Amino acid sequence: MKHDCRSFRAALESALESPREGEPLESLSWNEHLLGCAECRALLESEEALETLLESLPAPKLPPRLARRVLARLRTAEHAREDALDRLLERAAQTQAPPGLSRRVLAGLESARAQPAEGAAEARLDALLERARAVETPGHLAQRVLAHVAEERALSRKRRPVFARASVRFALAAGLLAAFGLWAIWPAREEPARTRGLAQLPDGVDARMLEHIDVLEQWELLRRNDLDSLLSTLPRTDQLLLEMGSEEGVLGG
Amino acid sequence: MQSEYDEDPGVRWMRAWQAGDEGAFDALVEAYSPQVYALLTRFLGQRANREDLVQEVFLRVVRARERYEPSARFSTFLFRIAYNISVNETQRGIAREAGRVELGGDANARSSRTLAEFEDTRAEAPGAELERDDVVREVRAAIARLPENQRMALLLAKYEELPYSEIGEVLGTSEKAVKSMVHRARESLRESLAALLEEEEA
Repeated sequence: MKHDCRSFRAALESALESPREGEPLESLSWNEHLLGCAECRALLESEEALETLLESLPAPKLPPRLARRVLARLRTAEHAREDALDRLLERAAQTQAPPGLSRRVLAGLESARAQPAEGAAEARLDALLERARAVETPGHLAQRVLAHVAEERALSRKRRPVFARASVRFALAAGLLAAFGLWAIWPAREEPARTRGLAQLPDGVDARMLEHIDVLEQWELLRRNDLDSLLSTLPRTDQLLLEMGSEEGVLGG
Repeated sequence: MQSEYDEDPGVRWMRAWQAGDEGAFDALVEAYSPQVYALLTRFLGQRANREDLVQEVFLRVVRARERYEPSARFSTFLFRIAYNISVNETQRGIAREAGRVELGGDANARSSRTLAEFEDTRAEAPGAELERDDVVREVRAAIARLPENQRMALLLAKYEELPYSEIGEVLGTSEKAVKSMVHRARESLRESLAALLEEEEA
């Protein structure tokens, strides 16, 4: 921007700032600078037109008796405020302490004093935490512990007998379990019949014969047919006795 | 305490009121409420609660009764209160509109409603030509779009004829900053009203 332009625009700003005291805007149109500066001429014309537009705005229409109404409302607001304050003060003045209040407050304070202070547990915890914080951890503790554990593990592997190893222990346990399973399954069907029958046998039954049958049953050599053929070889009295026992369930009939 | 503003009529009334003359406060309201109302209308547009806001301005004067010390003309003190209240009012309006938008309102509702408040001038200019009404509406809408501080600086300079130093007191800024605000405000108006200005120049 040229020097002449700057001084013209300063004059323009001044005219706009203090229209009453400064140079009137219209008088600037006679400024010599405008003869050779179209830009500043356009600016002045634009500013003059803007002034005209701004001045053409109608003044805001005031509501009738504005000041009176505002004053009346202010008094109402102030009175309302004072009334509210009066009511509060009145209420405060009327408030009386309930009977026996001081005695109850003192009793409450005594009981609070008798109980451990709420903060005591927290204080103890704080002290513990403080002590814990004060413990220094030896350098490389974790590495040393791990190395020691690894060493112990290697040593214990060498020292332990064969059956102490996990795989061997597992095989032994499996074998025992299988044996117990076989033992448990095998006599299961005959067991109740035998015990029940023996308990109810009448006197005079040949005990040896019963033992034979028992053994044969146990080894699963007896089947219904085999038993019949065997029984047929017995003396008649024994047969009779066995039939009686059979009715009582000796042979699981 | 004597002050250079003691000759200002507003300051004199305030002093008298502080000394116990209740009538002095009535004189203050009588003398200044039209100015405050006009400034609020120019700044905020045709809002229904302008009278409430004038009341709020003077209520703050009431509360400042004891501690008031003149540091400028009384009108400057009053305009500062009016500006703060107007800015709060604008912020509340924005918050209200934001609430409406959240509840499913139109996102453009706020700006269009604000401009409508400035544009509704028929009641104030009965008998004016329709064409003139349009110009007035457009100029007011352009002023309404200015940032708050630029708008207030322009209004105080143009319609209250306050020197920039006093406008600085109102806005809480320097005279230089006010000069820049007015300059930018006029620049924005020249841009937004370019078509109207060309007609006016012709």
